[in-house]
Amino acid sequence: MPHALFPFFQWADASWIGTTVRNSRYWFPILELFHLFALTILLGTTLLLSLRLLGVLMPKQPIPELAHELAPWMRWSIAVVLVSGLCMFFSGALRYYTNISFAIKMVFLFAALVFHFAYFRRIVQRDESSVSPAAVKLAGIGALVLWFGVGLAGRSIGFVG
Amino acid sequence: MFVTGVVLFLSQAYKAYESVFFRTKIVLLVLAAANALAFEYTSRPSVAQWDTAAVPPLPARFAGWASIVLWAGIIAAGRTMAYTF
Repeated sequence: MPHALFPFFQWADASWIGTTVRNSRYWFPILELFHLFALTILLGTTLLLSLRLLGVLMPKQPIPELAHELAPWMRWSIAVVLVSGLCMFFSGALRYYTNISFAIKMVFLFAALVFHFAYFRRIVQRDESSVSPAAVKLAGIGALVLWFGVGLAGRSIGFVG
Repeated sequence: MFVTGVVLFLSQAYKAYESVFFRTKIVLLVLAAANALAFEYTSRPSVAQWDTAAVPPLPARFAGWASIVLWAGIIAAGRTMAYTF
């Protein structure tokens, strides 16, 4: 992690949330379960919508309709993943500071969030005929690579540190 | 998942055998399979009749909820298992 961020990691580690989660036997596993449930929903909906963008499944289903149907699931799963993830991060901030997988996960996470809100969401709201095929493909591949990158790097945090 | 799960199990079979969470997970997996089979033989054959209905028949709705609850339980038991290993 960049050295400039060290004070933030120190603050997070010593914060009320950090100490509460760290000093309890149950908080971390409970947060992790919510993190996992939301994660399965986020990756599941992302997979469906991305494969539709890539033309792999549901070819007759209009993209904006599918996106509209899945939107609340994506929105809420992102919210739950972020809140539960932040609480877990606070509880071990100083350990994660030196964990290479955590650093990689954060890079993927920020890229995925920017990509999702600045690009993906706009593409899926528009009629397929009004967007270039390359832009639609990019949305599908980008979302898959970035979100599954977050998931893979996240899983390896536990194996590295 | 079945194949990777079996391989992971083989690598830690004794610990898994002793774990109450592993046993819970296996029970839930069997129940999920039974639920899917029951749906396949009771509700699925008539799906064309209620496919566009506002509310599907009770057995189909039960199968849907049971599936969500069971699979969520499988994730919970599986993840918790690792904390006790």
